[in-house]
Amino acid sequence: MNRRELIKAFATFAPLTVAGRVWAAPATDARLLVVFLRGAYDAANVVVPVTSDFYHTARPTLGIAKPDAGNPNAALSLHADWGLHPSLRDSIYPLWAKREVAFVPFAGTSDDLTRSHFETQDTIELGQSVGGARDYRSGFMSRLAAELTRVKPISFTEQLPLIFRGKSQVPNIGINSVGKPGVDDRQVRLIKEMYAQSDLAASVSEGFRIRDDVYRSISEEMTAANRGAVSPRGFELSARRIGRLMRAQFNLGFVDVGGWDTHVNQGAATGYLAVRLGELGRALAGFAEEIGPSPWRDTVVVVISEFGRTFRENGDRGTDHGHGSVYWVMGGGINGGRIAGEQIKVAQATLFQNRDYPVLTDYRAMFAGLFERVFGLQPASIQRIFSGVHPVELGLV
Amino acid sequence: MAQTFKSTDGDIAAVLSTMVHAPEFNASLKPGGKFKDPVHYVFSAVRLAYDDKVILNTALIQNWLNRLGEGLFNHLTPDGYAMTSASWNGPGQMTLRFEIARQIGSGSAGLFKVEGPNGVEKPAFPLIQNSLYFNGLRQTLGPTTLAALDQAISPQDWNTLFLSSPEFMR
Repeated sequence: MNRRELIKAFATFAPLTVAGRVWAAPATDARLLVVFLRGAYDAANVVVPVTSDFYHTARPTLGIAKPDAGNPNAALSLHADWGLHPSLRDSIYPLWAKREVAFVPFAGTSDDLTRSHFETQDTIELGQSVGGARDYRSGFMSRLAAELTRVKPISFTEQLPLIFRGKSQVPNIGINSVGKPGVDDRQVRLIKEMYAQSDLAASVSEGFRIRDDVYRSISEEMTAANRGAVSPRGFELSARRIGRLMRAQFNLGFVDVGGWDTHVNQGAATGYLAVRLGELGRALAGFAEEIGPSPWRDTVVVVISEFGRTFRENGDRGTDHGHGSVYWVMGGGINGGRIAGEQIKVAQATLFQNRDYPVLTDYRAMFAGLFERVFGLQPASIQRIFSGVHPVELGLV
Repeated sequence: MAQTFKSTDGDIAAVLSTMVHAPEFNASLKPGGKFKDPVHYVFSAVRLAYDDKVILNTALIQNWLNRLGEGLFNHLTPDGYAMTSASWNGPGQMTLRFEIARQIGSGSAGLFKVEGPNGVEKPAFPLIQNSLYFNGLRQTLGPTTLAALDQAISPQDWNTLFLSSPEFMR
């Protein structure tokens, strides 16, 4: 069977409805990981509009050169008009060649123009219209989890983020700082006994189960490292651990990574942003490797950020808060190797407020379209997740 | 409260007075009611353990509150930290709370070490089996909690189990 057909086959199954919820049985193998780049990454230097003369004049020191096989610092050719940052050469570019990654330029929040990190991050995580009264206890991934049966959600963060707050109980675990648990097995047994009759019994035993699963998976990795394997650090370490945990234990995950607010000296083909990107690329490629070939075919990874950055560089060789961003969609079974969604020519005249990228693909419309296809959700379910949103079909899944 | 706000032209002291004299406020103070939020949990545990002994190093408490997701002035959205139990009793949050119970229960954890590189540490130990416990708290414990506490192998272990008990979470 053609692997690209697998996820599509799931999506075309007529979903069974049990007690008002979609019985997601046909798609239980589907996995979704959302990666939030907090701080607004400079999308225009990652997926580069290489044929735009305006790009090269607007970024005299930060610009990435047009694709050129002889120049290691030049953009990697993705498409006639777009190139990829060279720091992703060994990680993301091979996935592009395999059609396992797609980019959605001009993506973001169509109704949040604050250009404030905190406000726009909240807007995205809540996934609710900015205009009305917002429920700050209800994140969109929590609402998604509520629409799916057999869902095993987890947030790979120190604290439970807004995106997973809501009615469903979602565990969270800081994946980069897992140490040997202090509460020992005997204490675990006694604590569980104390809670056996309590309404928190399930939460308590689930918490210990996840703690032990994560610790076991990570001690295997430490054993491997002791045998001389190179041990990754930072976000790459997190992403590899997440890959191992999403292979079997969890199927709906969220992780965030900061450090993208590059107002000063962000660098071009090399420098600060290039180092961050290199780590992100290795992390995502590492995730794909760890989850394994078969689960990877059923997995969709979406990389988002709160907004893009100003198209012109500032006086400090950096970029300031902007609007439209570029989202990434990855997966072993996606119809990738494409620049997806509505696009316009990148020029001064097409900038939003003569400043940054416009938003042509709204984040909610994009996620709604993906949820429909990946999980086979019906319109009523989609409306409970994103009220009043028309899903946009990007043809990726 | 809304009436007081209107009739006093927005006198905050009067509004708060109405709140603290309301029967609902009194009910919320009774043990066994609401699930404690992290601030309530950490402060109640440390106060029970050390009574009136003044903490010298608050960084540790701030760190616990940050890890539990209710750090000082860390809330970004306009509505403030959640008051509902469900916001604080998720699986990951419960496990973390037990780890912090163990840290509070096992020793002074650095709470009495003066901040700075050459900070001196004053001797202290969390005394939870105190008169407050024997004269009051013990009577509130259910049989399964008492049975678990009976199996404690040291004062540290007893403290950890007591601070982890479902009764102490409320």
